[in-house]
Amino acid sequence: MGIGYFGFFTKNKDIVNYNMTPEWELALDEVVNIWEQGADISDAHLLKECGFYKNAEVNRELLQCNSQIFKCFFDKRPAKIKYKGQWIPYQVESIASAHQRDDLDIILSIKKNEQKRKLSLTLKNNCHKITLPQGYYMTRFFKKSNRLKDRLWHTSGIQYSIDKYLVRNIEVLNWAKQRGHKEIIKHIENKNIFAVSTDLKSTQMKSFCQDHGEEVLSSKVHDALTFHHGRQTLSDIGNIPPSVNAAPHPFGPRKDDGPQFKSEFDSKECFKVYSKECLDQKIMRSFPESIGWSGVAELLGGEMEFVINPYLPRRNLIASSFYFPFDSQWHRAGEFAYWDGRSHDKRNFNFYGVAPVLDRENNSPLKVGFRCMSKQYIEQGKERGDD
Amino acid sequence: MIRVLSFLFLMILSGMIHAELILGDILEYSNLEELDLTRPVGAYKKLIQWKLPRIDSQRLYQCLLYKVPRTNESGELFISTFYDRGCEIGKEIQKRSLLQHKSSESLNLKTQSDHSGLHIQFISESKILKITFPQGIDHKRWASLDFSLNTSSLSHTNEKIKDGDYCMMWNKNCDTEISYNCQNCAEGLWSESLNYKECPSKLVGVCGDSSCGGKDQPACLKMVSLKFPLSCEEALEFVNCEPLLIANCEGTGEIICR
Repeated sequence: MGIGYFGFFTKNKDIVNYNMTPEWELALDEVVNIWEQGADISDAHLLKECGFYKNAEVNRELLQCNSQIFKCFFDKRPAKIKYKGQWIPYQVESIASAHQRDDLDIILSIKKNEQKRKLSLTLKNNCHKITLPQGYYMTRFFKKSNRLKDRLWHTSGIQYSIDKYLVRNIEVLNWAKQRGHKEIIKHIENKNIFAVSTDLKSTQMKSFCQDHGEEVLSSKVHDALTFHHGRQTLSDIGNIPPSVNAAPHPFGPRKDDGPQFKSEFDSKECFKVYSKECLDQKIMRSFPESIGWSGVAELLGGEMEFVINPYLPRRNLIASSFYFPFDSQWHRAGEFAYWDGRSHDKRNFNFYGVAPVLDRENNSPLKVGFRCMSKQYIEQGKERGDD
Repeated sequence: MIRVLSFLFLMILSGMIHAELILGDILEYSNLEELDLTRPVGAYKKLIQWKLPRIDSQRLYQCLLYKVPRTNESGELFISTFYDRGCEIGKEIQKRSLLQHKSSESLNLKTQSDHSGLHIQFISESKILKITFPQGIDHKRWASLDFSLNTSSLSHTNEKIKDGDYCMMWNKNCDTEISYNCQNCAEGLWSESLNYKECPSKLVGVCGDSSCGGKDQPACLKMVSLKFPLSCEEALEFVNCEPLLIANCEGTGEIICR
């Protein structure tokens, strides 16, 4: 069982047939497993290649579909599979990818009977991107009106692909090294590399996303993710507009599905909104945190988030964070504060009268994270297929 | 049951079971179990089409084809390889026979889909052929695996489009005027807009950041219209401008905030 075949061209364009033997199947199993599940970062070979992962604190989810971890694991590794008592060597060569959340092109080669055969593959990143379903959503444009007509928008064939998590220090570090941003490297190097990147200026955040062929998440898409879609099924998003009474949080259709609308703080719900109380009571942070209906995480609570708001440029900050108590207005969808993006001092922010209560002695910079999104026009009815 | 098992056992012993594992993304798949493999006689039936892993930038397509036997001729199941999608008989660059059977023998077919992929079994009196597509329809094994190189890594040579230039546009018949290439915008940024005169039911893409709604800027688009043609007044329902600015329909079909 398992004997198979596929054909391909050699350089002189002759078709060569060979058996798709079980060795390929076994090697593919190993490679795909490391990609989808993430490599063990205590692996000796991985640490030899990429010593900076030593003692790194990380959640499993961040290791999945992670091209850097994958490269560290497979680079120069004398990998082999065992078939019928025989060890068969194979190699995985990664083709450089700029973004650790990108798809990764690899060449898998297996050597058997002094013959080396190669197969080009793409490992798709299904782990860190969420696509917004096509359909109707709510946001606030220029008008303050609460009429649905003034707040409704439709994806109209644009496919929004959004980072599931906020950008991490490790990604910024890799980018800064490529770009030669010495100050950023110096600033981040000694931090937890898997923690949310919270120290960049807004221009640097924009550059980071643009250098990866993306842009910083927009306010209207953040709203789409953060208001509960409010419809019976996800497929209804495509043809039934939401109600203006949709829950202003992403955790369920009812308002009281969100901890911020309950009468008392409940520490068990810090995984939804990690508010000031969670920080003060030293409640352990969970990961992934604050996952909404779409699968995008880290939407409310935790670190603040910078967004692009072309409609109201002075409303560009999701202030919902551990700087505010659980019942603060900032923990609601569609509420934006302002950050001038130049620095992280309190004077660079405008919370429009609802400012965080910070200790006088605590002059530490306010933490602002960000995430990227990409958009692509998909003609209606056209599906992925032939390239 | 015992009889079936012993038959299978004998088949394995006599090497009559042949198994194939095929890597490739299925492009076309007919409902095989409902397929009539007895007629029309002499016809070629396309059962499955898939694309092979890309090697040296060369894309190849393969089809599993079945030739329905005429009286006193053999039926044949085979894989043909083509340069182009569609698997047009006569244009194959290679053909490989998998199973032949006499017209008097029946050929039965079974399909099954599980965690390890899509399995198809062809059972003739003399042979069992098992074909497995690990990238099968519903239950993909190696779900994150694509047997083609990412084209984005090859697109660096494309010419960049200047800010303010269109990267997607449609004509009055809603046919492509400029086909979508917004991924080549100079800064990687583009904004969506509407042309109410040409084709208001499709987005217009303009390279540049997403600034909209300000003075002399394109109005911000909320959604495209389902109705076409559209009057200027109707079109204004689909866009937004900053307070104190008025969305103005221009002669060109653009809607600009003045």
